[in-house]
Amino acid sequence: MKPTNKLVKPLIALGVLVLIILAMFFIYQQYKPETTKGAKKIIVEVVIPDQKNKEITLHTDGEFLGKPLEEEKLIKGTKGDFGLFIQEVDGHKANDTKKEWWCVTKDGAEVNTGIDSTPIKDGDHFELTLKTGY
Amino acid sequence: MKAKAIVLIGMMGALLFTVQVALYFLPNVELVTLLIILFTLIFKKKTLFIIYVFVLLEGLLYGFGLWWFGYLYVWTILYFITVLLKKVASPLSWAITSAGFGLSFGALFSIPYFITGGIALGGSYWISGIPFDIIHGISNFVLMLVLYKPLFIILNKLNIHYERM
Repeated sequence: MKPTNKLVKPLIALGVLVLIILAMFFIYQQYKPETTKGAKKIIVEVVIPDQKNKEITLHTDGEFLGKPLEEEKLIKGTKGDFGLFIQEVDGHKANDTKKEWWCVTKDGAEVNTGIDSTPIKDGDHFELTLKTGY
Repeated sequence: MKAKAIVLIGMMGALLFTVQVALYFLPNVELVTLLIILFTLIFKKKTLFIIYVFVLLEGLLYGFGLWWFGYLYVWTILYFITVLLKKVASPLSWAITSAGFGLSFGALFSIPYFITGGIALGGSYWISGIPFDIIHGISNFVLMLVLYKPLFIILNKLNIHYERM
């Protein structure tokens, strides 16, 4: 019986973990960023210091920002912990040695999500701005 | 601090950094949690120095953004959890601990966002990362269950040789 007793605590802990996962899944389903289905038009403005801003209109059925940007080959990057990490926008690569990086904003306000989890709706306006310094 | 301790800390810090970069392409699948738990059990207090070598290298590679402040405490919390549970011996128990840490990673990481942007920013940051936290917890569980025993044996043997040097 002893080996069975040894397993009781870990099995209870395992059960608790499963409950936590279910609770987290429920919270995510309740409060996740709302998305809109169907065709939509969004505007993406590429902002590079000392250059004229470029506005690009995208048509998509996607629900998150990452999809239309990748479909249009507007961005390139690497997949990381929080989705795609943008390294290149419209052919302009951020220079790591100069501490350059691409900042994503919506109507000027920084988005709190990665581009693959940033919801989009018809008429949204996003900016992709090349920033220097971390 | 002895020279051999400095060498050990540098090498183990570099090892953590290397495995993190090597698995970067797999979202939230990492060996850092597993190695920090093993290091804490084997190298004890030296692990704190190893953690901060790793954190510094991460900042140098990815930049010292707001995320980096999370790294300053999140791995140290794991160190202290391991110290508290150090008498635990079974791989299953460590797998559960590791899974719990993975599930809470986003919540721990969002603390600076709660401080700088309030509940709205911190909450939205945590909630949008929940799918990644679930992947993190499950992958931590599996990796620990599979790799804990063989890696513990190897590292423990190496540490015995190291202590005799």
